[in-house]
Amino acid sequence: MSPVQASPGNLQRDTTHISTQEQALAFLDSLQRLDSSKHWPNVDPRLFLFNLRVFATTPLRFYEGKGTNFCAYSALTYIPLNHDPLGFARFMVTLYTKGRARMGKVMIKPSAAVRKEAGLLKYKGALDVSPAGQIWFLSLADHFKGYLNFFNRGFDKGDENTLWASTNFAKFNRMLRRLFDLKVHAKGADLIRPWVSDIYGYLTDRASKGPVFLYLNNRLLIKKRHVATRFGIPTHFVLLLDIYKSDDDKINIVYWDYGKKTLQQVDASLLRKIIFGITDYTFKES
Amino acid sequence: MRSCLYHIIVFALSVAMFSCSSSKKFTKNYYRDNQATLESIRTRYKALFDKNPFSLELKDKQLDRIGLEIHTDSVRYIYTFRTDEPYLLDTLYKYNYDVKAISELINDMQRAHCTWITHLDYYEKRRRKFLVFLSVRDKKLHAFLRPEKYFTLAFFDEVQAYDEKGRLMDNEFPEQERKINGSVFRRINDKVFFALSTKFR
Repeated sequence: MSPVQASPGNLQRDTTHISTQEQALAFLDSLQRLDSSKHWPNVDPRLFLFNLRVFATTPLRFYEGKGTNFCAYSALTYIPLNHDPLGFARFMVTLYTKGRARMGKVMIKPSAAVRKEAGLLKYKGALDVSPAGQIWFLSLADHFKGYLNFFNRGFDKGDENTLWASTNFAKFNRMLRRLFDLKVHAKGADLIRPWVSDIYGYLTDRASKGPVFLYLNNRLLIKKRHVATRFGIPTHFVLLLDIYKSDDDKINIVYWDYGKKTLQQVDASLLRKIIFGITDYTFKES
Repeated sequence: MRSCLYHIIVFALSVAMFSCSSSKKFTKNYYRDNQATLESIRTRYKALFDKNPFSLELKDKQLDRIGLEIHTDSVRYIYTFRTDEPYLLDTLYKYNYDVKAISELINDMQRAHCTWITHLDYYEKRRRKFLVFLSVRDKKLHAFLRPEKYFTLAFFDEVQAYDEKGRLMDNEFPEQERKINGSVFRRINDKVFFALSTKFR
């Protein structure tokens, strides 16, 4: 395998902007300071505002936390942070000050258990010092429910690592449609791989138009034990930023998760094996 | 029929008992017997990481496929190499790593059956801190009818809190248990803790 460099990928092709980073920063500057919120008793307002500034200036550092099941919420956060950072900052400030806020078609009103927990998550890496990120993840997981959440619907301590926070493919696409003004196009299912004969060709075509979300079997992509997985199931959402072949016919995928872009070389058969869901989107013409 | 069932149960129980005693013996002795090698791997890895961050994985039982993760500020590159190919050294050279030092580290990891070494961050009082995380894959930890286990070690730079059973506890709130990668870690000394885990990373 020969070394290759990550390309900037679709970030440069994906040019729809509802607002800019500068507008988001100007809005946050205009607030100067926030008072402590009775709705979020364990969130320091200064750190909260600092987090929002970091989200606006370095959106790709947005981090879902170690060992959590927040990957789906983190992946979709690319959309507001990249296309509408001002809208996201306003939403977060309203959610903090009023305990509820509207995004798209959804009124997010987190439960008391979730509001009490935000700011207390620990040993999740950089998420420990991002109470704003904790508010966002916990609020989304509290609001949106799919069949994986059926037996664990109310938040208890530690549920960020359990099925309470999990997201199936249909729930993920529903979140995109309800939170943002998008046309969402999805292929695949939780247990059945998408019926696409040339997965590389399909992803290349879709990725040339904009970012693509992948629902994949992370146990095969990043192995954590030395066993042959017979019954692969998808467990992880990532944002595919670019895909291309190198000289030795290996496929290079550039994807975003855990606050970083990752470039990984895979062969065509592994790529086919790991992908269960493919979602791309376009903005609705107003 | 009843006799056959009895023999199966006795056999299964014997296997389970043997498996448990094998794991306990392994954890008790392994660090003591290999302390110098493990500490040397940890120290050299940390020095190399501080200059240019990376993680290393030995991917197969033969220990001849190497996984290299290169960490830059914004991108993580994940490569897989065979040790008999020239690409590993080419890549290390390209990214300005100390090729000789990393080659020696890989050789020592192969000898010590280390399957994974990385640097993990954690926060205390909003300050970022680091530990070195290392996994050992050893055939003594394999047991019939049981998933494979790994001997994982966490090397801290500072003294850590632990309870009367030797379990790693939260430094800020010593009544709270602290897990790493979902596993409970136990004390080897004040700065080194271990766990037997079904995952190596």
